[in-house]
Amino acid sequence: MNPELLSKKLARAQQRVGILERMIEEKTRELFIANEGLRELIDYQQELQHVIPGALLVVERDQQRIETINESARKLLGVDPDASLEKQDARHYFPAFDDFVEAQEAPGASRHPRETHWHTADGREVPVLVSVRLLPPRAETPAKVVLVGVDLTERKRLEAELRQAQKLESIGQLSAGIAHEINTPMQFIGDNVSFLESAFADLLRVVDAYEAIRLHRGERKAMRDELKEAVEEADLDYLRERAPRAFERTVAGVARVAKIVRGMKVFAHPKDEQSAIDIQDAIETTLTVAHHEYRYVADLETQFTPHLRVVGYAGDLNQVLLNLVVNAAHSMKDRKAKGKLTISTRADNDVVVIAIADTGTGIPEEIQHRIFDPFFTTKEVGRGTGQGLTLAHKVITELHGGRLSFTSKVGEGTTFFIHLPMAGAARGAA
Amino acid sequence: MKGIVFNLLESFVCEGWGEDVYEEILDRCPLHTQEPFVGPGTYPDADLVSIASATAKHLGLSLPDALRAFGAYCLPHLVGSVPDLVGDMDTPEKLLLAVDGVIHVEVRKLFPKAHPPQFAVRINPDRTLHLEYRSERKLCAFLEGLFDGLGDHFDRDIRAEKHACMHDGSDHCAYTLQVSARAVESKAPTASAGAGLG
Repeated sequence: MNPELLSKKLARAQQRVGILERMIEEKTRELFIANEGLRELIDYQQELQHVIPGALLVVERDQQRIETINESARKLLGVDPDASLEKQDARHYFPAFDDFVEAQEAPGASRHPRETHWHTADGREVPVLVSVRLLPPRAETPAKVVLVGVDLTERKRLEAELRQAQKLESIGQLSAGIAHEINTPMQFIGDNVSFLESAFADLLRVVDAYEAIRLHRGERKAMRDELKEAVEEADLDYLRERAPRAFERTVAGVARVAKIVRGMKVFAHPKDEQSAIDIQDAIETTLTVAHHEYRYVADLETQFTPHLRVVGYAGDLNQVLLNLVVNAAHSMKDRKAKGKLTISTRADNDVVVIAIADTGTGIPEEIQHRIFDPFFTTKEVGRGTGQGLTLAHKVITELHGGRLSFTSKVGEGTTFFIHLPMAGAARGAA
Repeated sequence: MKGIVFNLLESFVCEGWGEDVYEEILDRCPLHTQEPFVGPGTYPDADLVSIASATAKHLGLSLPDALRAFGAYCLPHLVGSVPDLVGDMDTPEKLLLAVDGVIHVEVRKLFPKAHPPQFAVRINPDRTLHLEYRSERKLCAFLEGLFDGLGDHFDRDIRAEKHACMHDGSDHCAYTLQVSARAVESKAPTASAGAGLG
């Protein structure tokens, strides 16, 4: 190689080294700035994590290990602020983690928050509303799941209070009718008791006359006359015929009143434990309480499949039935002819289906999609708060894992269907 | 264009025709860039075309032929520069399928200002490959040289049939590539349609 070419190449090589050194410096500076930016971003993100009121968990998707937990989550899960949760199995606190995430990964899965339960460090179950986002794997990091949970304990308590308040409100609204329902048997109980009181006095007089003859007190003829008169006045044949009926009707009246009172008690009782519920009993109790609401506007027809039982909250379920029966009655009130209220029950595999059908005005198609919305009502002011069907929907779907649906045609009527998992069937069957 | 291509062009000329030839070529080229090319740098495309044109003229070749020969020379060097990315790719098809989604993604990570060409590759029902090339540089002759180099690298015959060309007004160049076991006396693969810069 000639010296001129060699020196040219050497000069170019030196120039290249200089350029590369500059580039390295520039890249180093860029890296430093990028690092600073990243650090700032991490600080900001950490502050954000701890300041949000929601409980934040970032979990490694495949290993289910907790990667990040914020202060709200520690508080919610009852974990010591200094305890290290990182790398712990998320399923310890969120047993349904896998199912929950799989449901989220399914095509077309809703991105709306969903209710579930987390477990605290001391084993308590906490209802939470969880938002979830899936972070796909990147070159250096595995797939992650970001969960933000909101504690629903207080909301659940308030909802329970609201349901109880609504029950009491219903009792209040029905009270005039219930008073009438109680008053009718009380009237004939009173009449019968008066009759029996006078009958008893007459009988006592007869008994006294007999007693006088037996003990030979006074003049015999006068005693016989007295007895004859007492027997005639008592009208023993009449008493023999009427007194047993009076007793019977009194006992029936007392039973009727007792049934109404028992029904009201079931409604008003704030019992919040699950129990096995006989569906026919529940419907009959509801019909007892609501009798005054429908008796003048509709004839009742029931078709019960006996011995259908569900596990649930009796008071809340009765409230749903009452709302639907009262709504049915109201929808028939404005019709000229007396309507028909048909209540039937049947088993469909592991599901109990209750159908409540009326021949009322029906629900116009344009508002059918809104009837379960809170505060939506078509009733005049003072007659409906728009909470009944919302609560009914919540009680059936959320408390009992069932479904509430309806079909309706304007001018022909509406049928509501309650689908509930049969006692002993796996949850979710409805 | 990244500096690595300029450096490869220098090596291509130096190894084939000597360093003094390269210096002569360089001296004759009107370049925008006044300083030496370094691998990580980014330089005007016109400079590459200028050097490539001067090289073609010096060697008595057409520019497309020169670019094609240069493409064949570059392939093993480019593959060798990213061993971590192509280590598992043991067939030309796998490598071609990964160019856009893997290799160019990594290039952009290293050089955020880089503008690598776009490749859309899919496997036809008859197992041939359909490849579409899009680039403002329109270096399809260079690309065809890369096909040649790819065949040599994997010891396969690659037959490239060209259906569309950006130099004929299309917005992309389209090829059907047939990869087959290399016949003992097979010649270097050729594009069946005309290829070139212009």
